[in-house]
Amino acid sequence: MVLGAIRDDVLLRVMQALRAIGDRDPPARASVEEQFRAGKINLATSPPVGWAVIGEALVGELARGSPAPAARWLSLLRAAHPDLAGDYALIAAVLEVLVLVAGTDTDSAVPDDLAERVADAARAAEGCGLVEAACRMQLCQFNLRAETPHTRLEPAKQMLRLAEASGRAELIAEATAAMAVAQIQIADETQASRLAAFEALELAVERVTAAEGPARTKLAQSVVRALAGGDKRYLMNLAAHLARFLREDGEAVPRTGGGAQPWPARLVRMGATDEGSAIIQGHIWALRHDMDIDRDHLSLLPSKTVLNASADWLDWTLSHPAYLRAVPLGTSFLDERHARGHLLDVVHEVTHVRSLLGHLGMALTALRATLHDRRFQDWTRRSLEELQALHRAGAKAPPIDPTKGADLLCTEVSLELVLKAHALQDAWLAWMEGLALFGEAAFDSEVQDVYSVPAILRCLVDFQLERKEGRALDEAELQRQFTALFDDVDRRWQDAAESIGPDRLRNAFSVTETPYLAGYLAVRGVVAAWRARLGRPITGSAAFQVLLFLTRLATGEAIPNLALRSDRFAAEAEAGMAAWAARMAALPSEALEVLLSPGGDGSGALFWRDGAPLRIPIKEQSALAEQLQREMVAQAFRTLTDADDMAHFGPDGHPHRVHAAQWAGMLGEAQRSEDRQKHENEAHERALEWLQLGSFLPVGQADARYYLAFGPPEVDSRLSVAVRNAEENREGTGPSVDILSLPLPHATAAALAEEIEARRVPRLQVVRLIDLSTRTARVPWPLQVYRYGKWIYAISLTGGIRRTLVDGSDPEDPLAQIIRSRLWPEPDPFGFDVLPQADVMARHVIDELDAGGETEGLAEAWGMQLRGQAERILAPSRRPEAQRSAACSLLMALGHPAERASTLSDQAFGTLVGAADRRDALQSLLRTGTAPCDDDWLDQRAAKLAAKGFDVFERRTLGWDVRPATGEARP
Amino acid sequence: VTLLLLATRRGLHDAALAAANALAAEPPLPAGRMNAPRLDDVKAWVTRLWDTAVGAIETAWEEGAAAAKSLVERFGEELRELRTSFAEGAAAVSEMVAERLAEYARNLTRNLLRQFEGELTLADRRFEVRGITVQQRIKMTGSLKASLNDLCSLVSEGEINISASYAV
Repeated sequence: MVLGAIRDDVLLRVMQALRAIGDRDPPARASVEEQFRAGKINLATSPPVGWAVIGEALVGELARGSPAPAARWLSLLRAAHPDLAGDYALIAAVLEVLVLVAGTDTDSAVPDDLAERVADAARAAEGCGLVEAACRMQLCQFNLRAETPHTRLEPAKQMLRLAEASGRAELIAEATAAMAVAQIQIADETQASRLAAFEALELAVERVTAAEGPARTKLAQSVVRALAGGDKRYLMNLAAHLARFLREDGEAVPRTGGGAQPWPARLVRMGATDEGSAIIQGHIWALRHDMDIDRDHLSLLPSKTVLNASADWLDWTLSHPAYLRAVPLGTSFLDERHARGHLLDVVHEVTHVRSLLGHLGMALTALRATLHDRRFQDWTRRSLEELQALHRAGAKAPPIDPTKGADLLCTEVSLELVLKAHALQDAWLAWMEGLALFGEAAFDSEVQDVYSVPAILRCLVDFQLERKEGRALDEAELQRQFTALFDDVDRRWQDAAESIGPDRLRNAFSVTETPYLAGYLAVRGVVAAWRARLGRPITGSAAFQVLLFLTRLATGEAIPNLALRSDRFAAEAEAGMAAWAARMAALPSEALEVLLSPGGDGSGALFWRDGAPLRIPIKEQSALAEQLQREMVAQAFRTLTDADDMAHFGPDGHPHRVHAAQWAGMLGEAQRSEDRQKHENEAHERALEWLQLGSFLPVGQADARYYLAFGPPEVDSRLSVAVRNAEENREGTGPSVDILSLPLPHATAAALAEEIEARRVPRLQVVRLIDLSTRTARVPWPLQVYRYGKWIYAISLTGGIRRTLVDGSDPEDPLAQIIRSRLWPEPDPFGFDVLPQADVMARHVIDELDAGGETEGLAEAWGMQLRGQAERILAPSRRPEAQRSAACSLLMALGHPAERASTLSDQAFGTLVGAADRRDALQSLLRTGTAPCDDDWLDQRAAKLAAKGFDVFERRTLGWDVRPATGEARP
Repeated sequence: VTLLLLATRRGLHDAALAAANALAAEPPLPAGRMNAPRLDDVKAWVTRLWDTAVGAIETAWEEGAAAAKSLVERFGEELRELRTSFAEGAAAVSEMVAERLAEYARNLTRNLLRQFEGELTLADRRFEVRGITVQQRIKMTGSLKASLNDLCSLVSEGEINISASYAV
């Protein structure tokens, strides 16, 4: 490229930057211009605007073709302002550009380093706060690099960032178009590069088509030109959009396909007399085409890294590969390709989430809230200068000085809190998994209250009223349809449990790294003990409800003091869990009768206190739970505050131990200070907030294309949106999509319209959220949440009635804030990682110790201690071993002999039961799970299985069942 | 020409089974979470059929081919059920089960043949093997049931007959 082709563009951008300096202070600029014209300007004392005026004059001379002494002025500037800070730096940078331009013929090639000089000028402009000028300089750099596409991405990125910061729509459109051109030009065969090109083009289509006048045509042409050549089929559905707009603008359009119908704008402002239905029909039509775009996008997304369903111990979210990019809507949950398996996956994971909304979850939250406080304090005890330096260095975690006791103690407290959280999880994993597996077959549970899993499962479908001709729509008909839908959910669950239940047990029992079999047999042993004690065949579903209640609200007594050192805490957590299970197995008949009639006499909700169930008012329950949470936080805060916590540094009187104990004492003393009490209270409040957030369970998420028809107050506004509700439809031919048309109140639509105009992105986010907190209803309640930037809108369709729970017009709405914190939490403004993943934290500790150099004395011993703890956190085998150990303790506490307990905890089902007998063993487990069985089939199977070594069944008065837990540990 | 009998041992059967099972190895479950192990229709059917097939082989090993007959029949019934109730995935399931059966057979025969001595010393004279012929045939054909039947026969006999030719 010769300079002449781009010289004017360069000079224009330089002129704009210099003008921007002058525009900061127009009176000063006028005064300087007058001095300049009169030849009276004193550059030695002139403010930047004086130099800017000179720069503009130089640009003018160059534009007229006159030689301009840019180099001389540059050296004068350097002499006058050797430090070249702020605006002077920008002026120097643009003079560098002018020097190059002035020294090159227009017929000569563009100087090699001109793009770099322009980039310097862009950075200088940004450095002195001239965002728009910086953006235009980046555009200039982008244009200068036209012949080297691989170098254009960075200026395009910078340009887009600056344009968005400026908020100027025309700049944003231009930068987005440049970004699309850059990504399309460098896209190759790799999926990642194609995805980047697709997403850049999608955004460009959105923003370019929203531009006005000739700019739209120019930008659209630039993007369409970039599409020429190579295999760009994956972009053609998107390109069709641009082609349509070019046609509308009267331009000749290259091949891109697409029909003749005009494409609707994302946001249509309707007048009072507009035909709303035609506009909405147009939107629905467009969304049908958008489904092709959505499919193209889906095909480019990377393979999923989530391969199985799981629940998180700490934030109580459910992760499922089928719902990473799809949201259950209507009855899609029941109709998708692998609906049976997904249904049981959800039951399994919901059982985990439900189990954690209780004492175990509170203990983990107390540890986490304390860790958050520790880490936060570790940041805030530093000076502002230090924090700024860390921020500039991109630090995510605070540095550790291995010679400073305060750093070592603070780090160890953090590691201890992590290790205790792990210990609690590992101790309870077998029980949790056993309960969840058992719950998969609890399909005939009563929907009694918020504890019940069936009530949560029903939140995965939306009730859609069918209006049948000739049938009156009265209360009875509504109820009939409502009941029919939920009966259908229950029936599907039963069908899934009966048809693939054995396969699921088989699959879980074949996993050796997690003790599913031991946990399942432990749970079953407890249920069998209850049946034997009451002398009646309690159904599996009824027993499951009781177990879930006990796991939630009776486990507080099994959790050790959270202040203990992690090694002692781990041992006590395992022993506490096993003893607790034995106590539950041995519950007296009276307690069981209370637990088995959860509705009771209506005198209050079921609660657990002093080892027995009782009924108390819900308000009192909440107060007690809050008190327990406070106690737990207080315990966790006392981590490493006792002199005995430092006993591992040596025998009594050892100088290391004495010194470390002093540090622990100081920490303990500090904890009692008013300031620390304040922090403890804050941590308690944070824990309560997290508990509340945890009771909002997201299931499914999708980015959805949309159109908004925004009417005046007297006209209904409509949001039309295409939501992917399953990645694999029942026919296995691809994803399935619901096109929804949501009526929006005027204020809601106005808030959305404002956001659309500010952001111009083509998708909004849709999430299904289940409220388990009883905030919106007495039972679990499903919400459809729509989010676009700051706009959040939540509705519920349960009961056939659309209820708007968050109307999107008030960002301060408390439920909107909860939803935002749960689904889209704000990152730390400094980019610091206040609550990192355990492995990230452990690696950081090791790295810091490695970087800290040699230490001696207590610092050396303490460093070794920290390293050992960090390595324990990272050791891959540590947690599975602890989990199997806990499973073995659990079975022994329930009466299994040590050898059998060990075998059941360590070995896969396949090694315990011969292949020919596995099906029978699984069927026997499932049949007796529902209720004890007294029939020939089990007579034969159970005896045969026992003869072959799988001796877990026992015949009692009620029939065959899993061997009841005795509550007495056996050697 | 010498006719040799190579006896199968439990260890060889277990090793062959482990090799076949290894074809189904999956990545470990994510650590630190409460997982529901992945299970789709294909995996469920493969496991179900494979359990029956292994049950038949183990029964044949322990009690003879006749005792395994009912499990081979059950295997056939399950294959029929697969084709009717999961037609769209039947081919994939069958292929995976066939792979495991083939791996089992391959591993077992390979390890059996490893016992074979490449040279013999008789009356102070050394004979080196020139060629061998395995007498049994295991048909790993399109019929999974037939393949399983053949495997059951092989393991129930507990030996493999080999004709080997040696020369000085």
